[in-house]
Amino acid sequence: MEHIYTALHNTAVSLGATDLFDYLKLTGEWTVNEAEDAVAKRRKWAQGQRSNPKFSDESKWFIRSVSEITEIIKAPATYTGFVQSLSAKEPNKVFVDHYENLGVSPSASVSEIEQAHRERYRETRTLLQSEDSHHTYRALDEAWTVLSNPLARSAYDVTHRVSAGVGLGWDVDQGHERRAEGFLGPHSGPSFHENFQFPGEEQLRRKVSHGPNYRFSKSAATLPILGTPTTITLKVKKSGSGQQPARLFTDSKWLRVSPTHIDPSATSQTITLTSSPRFMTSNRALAKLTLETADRQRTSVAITGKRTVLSSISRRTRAFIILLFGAGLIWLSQQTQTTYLETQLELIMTPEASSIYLDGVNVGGGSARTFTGVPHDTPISIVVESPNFETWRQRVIVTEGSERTVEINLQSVEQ
Amino acid sequence: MPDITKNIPMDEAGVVAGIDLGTVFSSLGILTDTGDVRLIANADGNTLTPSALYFEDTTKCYVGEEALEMAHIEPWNVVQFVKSHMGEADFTLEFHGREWTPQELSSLIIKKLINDAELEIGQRVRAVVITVPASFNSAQRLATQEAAQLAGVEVLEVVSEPNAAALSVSQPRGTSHMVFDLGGGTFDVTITKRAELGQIAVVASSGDPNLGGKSWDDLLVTEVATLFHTRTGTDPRDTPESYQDLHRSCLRAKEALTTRTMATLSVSHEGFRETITITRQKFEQLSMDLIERCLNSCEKVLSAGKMTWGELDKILLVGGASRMPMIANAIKKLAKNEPDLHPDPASAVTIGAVIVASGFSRAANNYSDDTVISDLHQNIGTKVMDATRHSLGILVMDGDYRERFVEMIAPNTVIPVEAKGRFAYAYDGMTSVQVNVIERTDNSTKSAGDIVGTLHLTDLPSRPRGTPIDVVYRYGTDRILKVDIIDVETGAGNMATLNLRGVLGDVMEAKRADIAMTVIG
Repeated sequence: MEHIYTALHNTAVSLGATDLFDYLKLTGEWTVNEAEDAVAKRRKWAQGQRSNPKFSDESKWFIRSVSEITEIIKAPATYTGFVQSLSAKEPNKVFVDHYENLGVSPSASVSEIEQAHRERYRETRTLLQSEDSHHTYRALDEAWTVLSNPLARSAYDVTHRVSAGVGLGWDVDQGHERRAEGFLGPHSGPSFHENFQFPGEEQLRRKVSHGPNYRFSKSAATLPILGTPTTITLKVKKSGSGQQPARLFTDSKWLRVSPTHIDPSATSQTITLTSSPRFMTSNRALAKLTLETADRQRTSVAITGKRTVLSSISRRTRAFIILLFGAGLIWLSQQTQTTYLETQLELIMTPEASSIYLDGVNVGGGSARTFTGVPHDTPISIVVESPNFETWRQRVIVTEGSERTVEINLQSVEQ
Repeated sequence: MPDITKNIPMDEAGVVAGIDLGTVFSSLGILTDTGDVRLIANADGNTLTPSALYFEDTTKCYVGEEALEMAHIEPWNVVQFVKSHMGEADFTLEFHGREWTPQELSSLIIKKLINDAELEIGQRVRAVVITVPASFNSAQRLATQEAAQLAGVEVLEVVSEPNAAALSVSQPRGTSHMVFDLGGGTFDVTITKRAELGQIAVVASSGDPNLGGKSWDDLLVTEVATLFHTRTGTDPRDTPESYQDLHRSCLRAKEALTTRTMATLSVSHEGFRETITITRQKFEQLSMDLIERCLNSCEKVLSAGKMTWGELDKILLVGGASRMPMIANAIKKLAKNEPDLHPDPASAVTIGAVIVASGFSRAANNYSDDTVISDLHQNIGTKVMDATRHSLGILVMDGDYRERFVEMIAPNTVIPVEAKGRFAYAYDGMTSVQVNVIERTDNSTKSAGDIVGTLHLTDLPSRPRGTPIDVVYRYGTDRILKVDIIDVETGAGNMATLNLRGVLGDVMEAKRADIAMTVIG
């Protein structure tokens, strides 16, 4: 039931309501009969506006959800409990950044998102398999499901992204008016400003007026992209003498912050940001480090990655071919460590190969070989011949920013 | 050549008809005694009936112009564009306490067309050929077929709209035509080739299921509403009643802009009244994205058919929306060739449907050559070798137990088609196998496609991983997929017709009785 609640609730919130009941203009005490009337009234509206370009998404959503909403109003307590648990959970919520997963900017159009999704899917598919790829597919599918649907996308933007300072993904002239309705419209009721923490503009607005009394030393920071985890430090300064607790979080799973909570007594403190080497796939990801005080005021700093231009920081592709005695198995593990410029392929074979062919060219044998200048993003055919075993053949595409493992079972050739 | 077995004995009198069940307009036609196609005018005297329904009360329903008239008075009791929801299982609309599925709503439109036709020609319509967009998948096609069955007529064939349109003109042997079918709500583009006299082959097909005349209406509505909003501070789209008024004015403006360079609308909402002028230039500028989408589909279909613009002998524009001059101009610019606008673009699909229907009729085959006055008559009985639009495949696990889509039938394969694939047990000691049938459509939300059916083969002997299993897909001209799973070692098999979502099955009779009770005005 929870996923139904989540989907309905998020959509209602994206449409400017505090929750589903507010969307139906049910405020204060209400009976099931009143609620059913409200649903019927809204459904009539939706049937009348279904073909109206301004409301067609909303109308179709409502028509499709009528039976679920009817269930909810009959037993409102479960849903209310869910909403309460949601707001309690909110501060620790792990943000899945669909935009980063697809490598698009939050303002990208649907066609850009579609293209990015297709490209990333293709990339993942052409890469050799690893445990990671399963998660990648799932993340990509999830991102596409959310971002391709304007309603789901705006719901996602409201609940997840506004914290990173990004506007709604809604169609411009629809979005503005609708959000305006949410804040100023007659149906919002007084409960809106008192109880509901609208995760978005509410904070942004407050920030304009006073904002938290903590400041980052910089408004933006840059992380160098290296093969190993990189760290940078930032300072947080406190203005005034208040001792307000605050937490720090990032919207990127590749960026970690430590400590995660601000010491309210210190006037200035140093925090460390660590990025995994995968933080920047193709120089397009942008992360946000956010400081949130206990009363939900926020300030944030943009973190970008920067390519190191030196050609010596080259992409290294290492391949191991290990021959296990007796079992007749060949293992190949290929690891792509860092990004860029030049591909290096290492083959480590035990026992040694009699010959290796790269794209049909015999490059000799040996137990450890390194090849530089191997093209990436195009298939390379690798053939390894080892005495007494089947020849290993594989077409390998090396793309940027990947870690792949492949296992190959080969039969020993009977003597 | 027509299937003789489908000919009905003489005692079951009645004519066969072709129906174009459109998003915005629907129409019906029959073949006359002289071998000509006759489009039947409805009770209002128009051959095009708006696909709109108005429910006055629980049992009385108006279809067509009357329904549109009510749209700005009781918008919630009027339904339009129901075609875009065909095949959706969870979509129902409520009128006076009764839930209506898209099939049932469509069946009322079909019933209205047939009632009017029977009144006009004085004969019973016993069977129909009905058209659907080429992009419709199996579920949507079956839903359309059900709609006609609910209306109480036999369905001879469900034909893709561009294929029907291709039959509405004569195509000399050896030529290739591009059929550009921009309807009210859907867009299809198909390349057809007449290989021999009695046969037309679909080379490739593409399109956009959410692009049509309605997309242009929406552009105008949005533009006019924005202008109105800047002048008055109110948005006429905000109440259903004003929106319906606005939509009708925009439709008239769109019509006017096909012949004039400027159109003026009068819009009123919340006591404000404004006169807004839209020039054709502005309209075309707004439409650039939509045109681009049309042209992209054209390029896609050309590359799928491995052809160039120069190799096309004719570019045939059909569908009401292709009357807009900007369409022909954009194609001309790209193709360096003048496209041919069908003499009756809005009825081309109906004419084609009639031609297909006539192939099933004994009467149509009994003309002696000298009674034939229509050159279209040569198309009667012409077989359209249709091609698949979507990729059909199977969900399997690879060596690492990850799910993979394996394509069994590629898009643009000529149907009927049979494809066989050999797969293997994924685990040791399995005693049953499951086949997940995947249909990958243009608008699949997942890249891997949607699972449209599942099939099991059980009670197998326990055997090791790698034991072979054959899967056979048979996809017929009725667009229904039949799947066979065969255990290679024992020969045990299981055959199933794909069980699609949204199919009525047992409740059909009850629903039909219900539809029959609804009075159509």
